Amino acid sequence: MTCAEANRLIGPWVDDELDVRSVAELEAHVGRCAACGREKNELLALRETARERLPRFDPPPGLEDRLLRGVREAAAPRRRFARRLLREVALMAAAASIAVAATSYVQRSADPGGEIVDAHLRSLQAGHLTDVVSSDQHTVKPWFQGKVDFGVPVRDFAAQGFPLVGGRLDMVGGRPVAALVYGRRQHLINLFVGPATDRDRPLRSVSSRGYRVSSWAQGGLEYRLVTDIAASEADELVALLRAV
Amino acid sequence: MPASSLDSDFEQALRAHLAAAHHLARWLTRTQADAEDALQEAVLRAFRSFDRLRPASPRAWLLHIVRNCCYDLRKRRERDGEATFEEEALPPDAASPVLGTPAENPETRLLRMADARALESALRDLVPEYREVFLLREIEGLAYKEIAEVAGVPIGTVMSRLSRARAQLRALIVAGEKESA
Repeated sequence: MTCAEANRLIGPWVDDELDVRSVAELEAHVGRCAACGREKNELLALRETARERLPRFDPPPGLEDRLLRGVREAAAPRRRFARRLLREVALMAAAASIAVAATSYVQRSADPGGEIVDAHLRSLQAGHLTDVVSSDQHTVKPWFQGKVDFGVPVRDFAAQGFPLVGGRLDMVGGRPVAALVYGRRQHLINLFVGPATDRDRPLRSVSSRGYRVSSWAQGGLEYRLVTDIAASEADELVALLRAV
Repeated sequence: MPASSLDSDFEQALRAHLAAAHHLARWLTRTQADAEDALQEAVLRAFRSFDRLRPASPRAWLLHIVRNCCYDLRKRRERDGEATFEEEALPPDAASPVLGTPAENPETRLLRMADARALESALRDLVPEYREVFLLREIEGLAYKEIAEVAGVPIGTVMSRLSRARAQLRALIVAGEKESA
């Protein structure tokens, strides 16, 4: 081993990041070479001095509480926003129940999104939108535990303009599913999540009675999103949800 | 509804690594107030992504966010035209230098004798990218792999930065001690 080679390895050596064989070779070299031995001692001296004398900045008392309070405060306004949004959609819900009555006569045996749109419209009837009202994903996610036999991924997209409003249990096609509700201005978006019947399925979007239904399967779960917002906006949320 | 309870895993991660996070922030910013600003921003960012990411190494992940927030703050300060080199002064150090063993060569002895102020001023003279790898390695005791995660660079870069940081520190300390001798 030359001094140049040894020099490059002395740092990793004192840092315990060197493999056993290189350590043996390096030890043999340093035993013979005073200059490389000095190099090693200097690195160790520098470390020792740094550990003993460098000012250690301990967190001031109460810092942790201040930081956590900051997090809670940042989360709070969004919860208030979610409640206001809910009040505003109460009016829409009344209108929607009329829509349900009107559309229940429509023949839709060949309508692939029909079942989902029905579930969406049902949810807009007063009092049925959410069982758990929260824009906090850490509140909504555990709420589903023990109610459905699969993990429900819950994420808030308030920063991207799709605040989480809440969640509820629903039935689609005779099976229990988790429904997550997102807001978009005055509009609502239902995301139905259930166990996938087969492997991952690519995204497919259809329109049904003025609602856009996007469905896909990913990670063992089947997702169906229904809303009356513009297709481009719906796709934006779908992209956020599909990004892992 | 437990509206204001934060995810307890997150609180635990924060509690476990707050000292390291604060220490790093204090070294990468100029003042205690700046360090706390950067930390608050980092904790908010961390909280938003914690549940989604469930990081394998919460320490490296948290320190990575803290580090990025400190760099953002530095950039903002530089843009605002504030001097970045006038770091907050430390109280004078009362510790007496420890004498090296007689067998040591003069440079090693100087390194051992360097007092806290000389050491701190040398470390503050390094560019932050060198300063952070030195601190993470020598003070926090992180492995190269973790340092690479914190700094967001490959391990090879960590090694070369660490090597340069050590070389510059030694040169600065030795030059400073000789000057004052």
